[in-house]
Amino acid sequence: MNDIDEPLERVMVTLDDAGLSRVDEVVAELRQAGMEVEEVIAPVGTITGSVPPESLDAVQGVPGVDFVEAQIAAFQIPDPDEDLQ
Amino acid sequence: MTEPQDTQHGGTTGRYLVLMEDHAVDAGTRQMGDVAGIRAASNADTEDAEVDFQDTDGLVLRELGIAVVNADPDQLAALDRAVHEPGPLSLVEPERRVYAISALPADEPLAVDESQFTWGMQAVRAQLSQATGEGIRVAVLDTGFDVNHPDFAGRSVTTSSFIQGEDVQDGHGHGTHCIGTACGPRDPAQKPGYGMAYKSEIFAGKVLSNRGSGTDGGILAGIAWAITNGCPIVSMSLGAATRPGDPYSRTYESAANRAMAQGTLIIAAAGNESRRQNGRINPVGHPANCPSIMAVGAVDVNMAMAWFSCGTVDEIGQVDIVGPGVDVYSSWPAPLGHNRISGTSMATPHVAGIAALIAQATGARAWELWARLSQIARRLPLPSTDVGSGLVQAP
Repeated sequence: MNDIDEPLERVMVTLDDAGLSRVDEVVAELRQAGMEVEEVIAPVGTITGSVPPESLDAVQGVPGVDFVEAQIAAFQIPDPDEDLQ
Repeated sequence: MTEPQDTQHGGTTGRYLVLMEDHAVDAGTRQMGDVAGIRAASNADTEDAEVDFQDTDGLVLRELGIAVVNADPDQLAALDRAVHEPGPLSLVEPERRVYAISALPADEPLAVDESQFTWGMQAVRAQLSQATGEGIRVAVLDTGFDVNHPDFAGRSVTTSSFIQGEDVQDGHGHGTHCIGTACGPRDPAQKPGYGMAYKSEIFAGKVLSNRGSGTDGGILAGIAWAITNGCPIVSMSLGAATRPGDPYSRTYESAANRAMAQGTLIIAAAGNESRRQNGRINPVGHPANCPSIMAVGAVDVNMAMAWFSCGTVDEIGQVDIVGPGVDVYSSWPAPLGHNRISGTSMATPHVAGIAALIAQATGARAWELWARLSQIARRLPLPSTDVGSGLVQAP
């Protein structure tokens, strides 16, 4: 079930279509599984938040969850006075 | 072979390369003298490959079996006859001029007249298009927008900030520049015109802070906002560098597919991490490396690859199309008003703006819009791994 092999804190939980069709229930189950839900981004089917490492399997196992990815390191563009943007 | 009259044009030097048959360098050197009176020095006799072409007719590169020679039209004709007969000479062709990709100084005057329109607009032929982008909503997810910029007076602008504690006002400049290229005026008070879809509806989503930083959560929320608002096009001049072999994000790929299913095409910058002058091509960044996000590379005014433009390194994560991305003039927050900068960030809104023109002209959305962008792109004599289907073109 869980294809993530390192501890994560901030995650993106993407739902399958079935999960997306009952998103409120899935969010409740994610919370029960230990996820601190930040934002439900329904149009793209992804829920952001934080998960303690020991709860990852439970989050991944919630029915309706397609997969879980770590939030990638912050995006950063150069300072305004740089020529290359 | 190439006609002699071509030799002073198209990047040739006026000299010729004479290819000799294997193991026939001495015989070939003698025959150049016999048939054409060309006496070429051998690099075996010189300290290095430097040779003064004033003193000799050419240089024989022994290891390569190639001579670089000066030849007048009569001598060229004689060489041409010789290669068509059995003997040690096998081929004659004009010597081409080659440049390091970064050889063009940044302050060299542009080769294109920008008194009316930016070089980028002319390169994508937007100034000739009947399409305006009217009725098409273009979401630009970036550092926000200078909502008081005089070039955008009277325009339809919808804004939302996904950065905690910051309103949409652009405290950086990057977002205002990108919105200018995608949606800015074609005929501003102060020339040149620089905007592609100059009657489109602007949706400025702030997902990068005034200091230029953002997170996946904010960017995904911005994409969702664009979908909910019925924007057929999302322009994202942002990304994070990747390494060869890195997988693409399944989250963004899923988001892009769900966006497509709702009529929204996401267009993103390939990234600026290449250093082509050093022979280094870096892979397309995140999230442009997702298969269902259109990845945009950059070319310069001479239709050469921008030295920084990321390329296709892995089987996935390809560059899909290119746009003008070097010395791009567009809007900037006050007091500057306008600014000229470079990056795949600048190429991306060219493609997004042209996508809006195509969306208006044809009604195409999502994958059909992607297909039309690719289909009418101008093919370039550059590797598809660098330019995808080529230079974006207005309908």
